Amino acid sequence: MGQIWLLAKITFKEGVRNRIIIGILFFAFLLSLLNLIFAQMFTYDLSKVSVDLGLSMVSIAGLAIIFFMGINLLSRDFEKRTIYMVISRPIARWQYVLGKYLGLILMIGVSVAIIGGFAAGSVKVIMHLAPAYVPPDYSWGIFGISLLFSFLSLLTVTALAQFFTSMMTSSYIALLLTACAYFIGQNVEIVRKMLSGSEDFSTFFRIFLEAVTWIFPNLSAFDLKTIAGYGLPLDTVSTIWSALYGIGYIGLILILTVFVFQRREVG
Amino acid sequence: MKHKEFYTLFSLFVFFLILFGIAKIRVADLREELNYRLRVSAAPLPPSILKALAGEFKGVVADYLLLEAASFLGGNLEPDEREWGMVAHLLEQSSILDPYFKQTYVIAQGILPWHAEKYDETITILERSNRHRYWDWRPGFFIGFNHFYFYKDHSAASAALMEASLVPGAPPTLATWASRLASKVGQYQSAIDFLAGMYESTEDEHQKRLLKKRMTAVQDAYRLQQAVDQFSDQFGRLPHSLDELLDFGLILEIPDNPYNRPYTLSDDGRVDF
Repeated sequence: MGQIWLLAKITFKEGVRNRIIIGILFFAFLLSLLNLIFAQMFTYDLSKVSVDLGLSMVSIAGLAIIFFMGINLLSRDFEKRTIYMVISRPIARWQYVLGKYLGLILMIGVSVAIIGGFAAGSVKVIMHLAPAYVPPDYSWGIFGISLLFSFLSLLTVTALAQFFTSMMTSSYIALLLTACAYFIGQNVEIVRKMLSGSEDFSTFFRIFLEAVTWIFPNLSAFDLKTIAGYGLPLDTVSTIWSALYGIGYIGLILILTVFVFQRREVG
Repeated sequence: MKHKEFYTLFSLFVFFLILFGIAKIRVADLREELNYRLRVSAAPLPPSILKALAGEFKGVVADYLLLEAASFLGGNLEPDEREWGMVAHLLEQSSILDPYFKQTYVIAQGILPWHAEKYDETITILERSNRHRYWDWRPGFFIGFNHFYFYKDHSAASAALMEASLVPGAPPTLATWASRLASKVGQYQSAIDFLAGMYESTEDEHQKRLLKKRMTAVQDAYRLQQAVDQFSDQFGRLPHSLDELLDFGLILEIPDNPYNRPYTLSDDGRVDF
């Protein structure tokens, strides 16, 4: 555990050295300003718009960290051969994988917390300015849960990013694959739902689509922005199962990453 | 890899696999009920801002909005007034972002006027498609049909059909229908032909039923009108009511109106249904 934590700390510090925290703070500040201006462009549901924008920015910032920093950070060890320094030490490869993952999610967790805090602040201001448009059942608890689920979604994408990085020699290909997985994950449910009601598609295509839903994560299950924005009732059972689904998927991907990494010839 | 390590990892893998498998099935089931309890949602964005935000991804965003509307409609639920408004809004946004997209106007025409009584919204989308898809006669044809069928505005229908008939590749019958709709004399026959044309080009069973009903009503009204004209020729005046046609043996019975109300005779001798 000590080794994993050490690696996590190193990874996190590497992120901090990249001045990512300052970038995130700047982004969060801009977001709050944008949110205040943007919501005024609407005539109805102002608070819903601000919640939408705030939570979307959390996701965008998290994804930006994964795509621009995370993958870079993960593949740098291979590309710059610094991996030799790590694996020549008494650290098992699974510890390396978990340590790196933990470091990255710490980084993402901090950014989600910072931007989430700023987003909540700007939502609060807008609610204060336009109290008529605050949904009757609006709940900050659900806003928080929605934030946690955005984080879970980012954790899933990070696990996939790490999996692809350990599999591919090129960080560019890993980035492309992660981006593809993200887009498929966002849309797979909507596409499957649409096709399930139609008779125009072949059985082969249906089976193929069903297989896709098993391989790629259903990221829309983690999207609670609409519920948070309109203050809709949150289904507890469904929320718990969605969380377990995410955890199960992340666990599987991490173990697969360990297996791939064990077999990878380093050098 | 050491054996112990391998077995631990393998056991964990199996554990997560089972957890994932069960959770995946449960989530899919729960979201089947839950997801569209949330129903459809559309950003209440003014079109110009939406266009600006979408930037170079206008096409993709348009596709996505359409997908959102279509997947909601595929959910086989009974949408309420607000949700129909959302669907219309999504289609409108999609049409603005990508006015060339055929799918948008086809879905709009197939759904909005028939199920949601959103005639103006449909015509707005169709007119946009008509302006951009200069090679396509169908948007014009649908505009004409909507004026004729929903608004009962024959002159607007005629004008739209006439315009659609000028598009290269348009069926020649469009011009015939247009000219006959313009003249009061040929209204019934052209209406029947027009409805039959629409009936042939429609695949939706619900719409087919509605069209069939209208065709039956127009055909019966046409027969009654012929009898009224015959009466007027014979007696030099209009009948006082349709029953008078029965009394003089010009018709054997007054057919049942499929719209569950009696056929009536207007003061100027026109049969209405």
